[in-house]
Amino acid sequence: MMNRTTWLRASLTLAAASLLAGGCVVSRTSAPRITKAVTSSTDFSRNSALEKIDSAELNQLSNAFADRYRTLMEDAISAIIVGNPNARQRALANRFLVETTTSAYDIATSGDPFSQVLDLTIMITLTSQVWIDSNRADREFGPERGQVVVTALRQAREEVWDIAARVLLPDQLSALDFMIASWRRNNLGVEDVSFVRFDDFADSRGSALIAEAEQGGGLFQPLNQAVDEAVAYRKALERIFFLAKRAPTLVNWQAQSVIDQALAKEETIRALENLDTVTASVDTIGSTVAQLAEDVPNIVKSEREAIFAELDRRQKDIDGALADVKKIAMDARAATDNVQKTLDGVAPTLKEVQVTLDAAQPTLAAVERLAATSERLLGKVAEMSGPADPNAKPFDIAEYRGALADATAALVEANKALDRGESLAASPAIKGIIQEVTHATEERINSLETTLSRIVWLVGGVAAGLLVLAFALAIAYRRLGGGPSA
Amino acid sequence: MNRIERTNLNPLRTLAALCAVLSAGCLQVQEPPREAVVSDVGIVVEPDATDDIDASPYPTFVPDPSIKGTVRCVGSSSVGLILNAMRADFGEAEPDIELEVVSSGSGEAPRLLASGESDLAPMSRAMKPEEIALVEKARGCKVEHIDIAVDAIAICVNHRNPITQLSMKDIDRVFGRERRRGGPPALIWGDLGVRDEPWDQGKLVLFGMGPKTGSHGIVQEVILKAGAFRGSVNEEPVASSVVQAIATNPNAIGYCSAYFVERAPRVRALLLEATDGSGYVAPTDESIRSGRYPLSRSLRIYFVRDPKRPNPAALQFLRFLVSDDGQWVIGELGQRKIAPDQAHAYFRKLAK
Repeated sequence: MMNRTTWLRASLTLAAASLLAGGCVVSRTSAPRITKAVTSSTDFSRNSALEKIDSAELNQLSNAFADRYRTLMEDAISAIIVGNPNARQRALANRFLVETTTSAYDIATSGDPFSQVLDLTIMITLTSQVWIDSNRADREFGPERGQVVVTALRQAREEVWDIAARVLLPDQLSALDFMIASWRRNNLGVEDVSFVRFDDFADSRGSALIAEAEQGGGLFQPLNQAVDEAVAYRKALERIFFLAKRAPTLVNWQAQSVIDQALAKEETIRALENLDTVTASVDTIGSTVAQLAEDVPNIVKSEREAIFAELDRRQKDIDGALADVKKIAMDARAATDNVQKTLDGVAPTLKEVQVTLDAAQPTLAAVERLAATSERLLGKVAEMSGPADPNAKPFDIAEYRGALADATAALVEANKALDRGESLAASPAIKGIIQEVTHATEERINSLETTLSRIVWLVGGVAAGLLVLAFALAIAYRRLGGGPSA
Repeated sequence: MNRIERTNLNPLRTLAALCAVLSAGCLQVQEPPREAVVSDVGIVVEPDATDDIDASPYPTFVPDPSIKGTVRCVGSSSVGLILNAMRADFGEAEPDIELEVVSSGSGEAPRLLASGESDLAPMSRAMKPEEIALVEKARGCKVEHIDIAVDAIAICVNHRNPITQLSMKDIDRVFGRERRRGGPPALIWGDLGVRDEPWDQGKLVLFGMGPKTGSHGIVQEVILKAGAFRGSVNEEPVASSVVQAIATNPNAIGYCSAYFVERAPRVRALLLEATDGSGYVAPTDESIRSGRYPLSRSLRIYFVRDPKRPNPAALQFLRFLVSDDGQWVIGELGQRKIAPDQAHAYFRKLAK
């Protein structure tokens, strides 16, 4: 039983077989039930399509690329770290540098040059896809700092594919690209891709196939076994020296990365923050104590002086206040007698005022009624004087007569009330009001009389006109002979 | 679960199918049993509800133990990758057929088919008339082909770019030096109808594939009408490089296989219009498979039925490729399958 991943692995192994079978490779898959399915054979176009390149040159290319990658990434990561206050970003950047550079050197010092090129291509491509295509650079470092990583990775990617293009045909490049894309599709959540190798695509059999490809001589010149072993020893030594020269830098970076990661841990950040707080508190307390030691004697002295001065001032105030109180008490006694007398005199006056006010009540009511009547009359007069209202009530002289009667009655009542309240009538204000009301009423009565006279004359005139017109019509009728006598 | 293993879980069905083949005397299309039937040897075959093969619209492959031989496939690496992925399943079904797959590039495939050095010529583009003539003259028989998967070329831009669609004429104005479809060259986004500031004044940055790739050839043939590309096109070695270049440059426009654009969050494929007024079409499964999308392409295999050198093993492998089993592998590889009716038509054609 094979699950999907296993199936894909098997398929990709076979795909890898095709990819790597540029030379004279005949390989049999290890699937138990496949007996005759083989991978072949002659590459018909490679020799003409690709320039000649031997394994030593390919090895040099991959080593040079590893150094180049280190330079590119070191510059980019320095740009991210320098002046960056974010401990987490610094730690991540350092970790990225250490992991990917170590991985590049690991690949460059591996056994087979062709595998080196494939693995470098895969590692760089996947790393760039995670950090560029999936936008991790911007996400982790922000747009400005992230762009530095993007630029460096793009450059590295272009260079590694240029190397791959020296050993693979365009179709094979496409096939490798497709394999990488397929792996990425199936592992979208994986972000640490620097240690993904061709073997991860093609299962462990990929290595064997690479070895077969190398021995097959399609890519490289065939070597006899003795020469091959000698060359292998020499290569191993070269790789040891190559890596040894770079090891101190890598170790240094790794140590720095460990420190940065420890510093970027949440617990460390919290501890450092707490330490900062405590230190600051201790400093504050110390300076406060020192200040107090300096200030306390002066403070005590000035406070004591202020207290004594206040006591002196209050003693004087108390003495003065006692004298004042004595004098006020004597004055108060005399004043009390006067007040009693005043109160005795005021009592009858208050009663008189009360009586006067009681008497004034009916008078005020009469005046109010009079005012209301006057308003009514004035309203009527205003109606008469204004423009004709087609919906207005017909003229009724009885209303005016009633109003005049009300006004007269109100005046009479008011006069009676005034007669009754002599004290009120004696008041100049009341007198003024009465005079004003009387005057206003008289004016309105006069105005009303004038209006009534005008109305009477108008009605009389209209009646006379009608009479004359009727008379004239009668005469005309008779003259025309339209009457019964004609 | 492996495809063949699942098939083997139902031995009655396999036996019945074999009996049917033997009784017919030749290979033919086997429709999966939908209801209980009595086979030619009297065995009742019950429908297996748990076996999803029965629900497949593709023809069922019937192994033929009598066929033996070797099938040599030399051509496109892209198609070769698919053929190699078929190896495990085909090897189990037909253990006596050897399969050899060699990547030489599409350009070499016709010559090798003509010389008889290969039995099948996998290609990621259509064979040119002169190539067909070469093969037919050398082999003395007609060249045939089957499509095993479909793909498309996407014209894509940065995800922030406001443009959504282009006509073929516009794309020719972008990439073509000669502009054989007419119109002035498109140098800034405003030339393509973009009015949003500041995009309208943004200078186009062009990306494409190398001249030896299938994508390059298709764009040149279909869009540029065999005209030359502008010199300012930045040629990337592989499709994923094109996608990444566009993802990092807001003014970029480029072309590559639609497969690489589908899950690229920072790159967007444009809708294309084949001819004026025909309507803009997005590169979807349906439009690519049906050919409505103007830059659809087929991954195909060319072959001949040479009466002097008959090769039943090659025909059997072709039947496997368009069968339910073969198309399942295509789907597992993330490629687009051919349409089921097309698969049946190929199956009938191959049975003749």
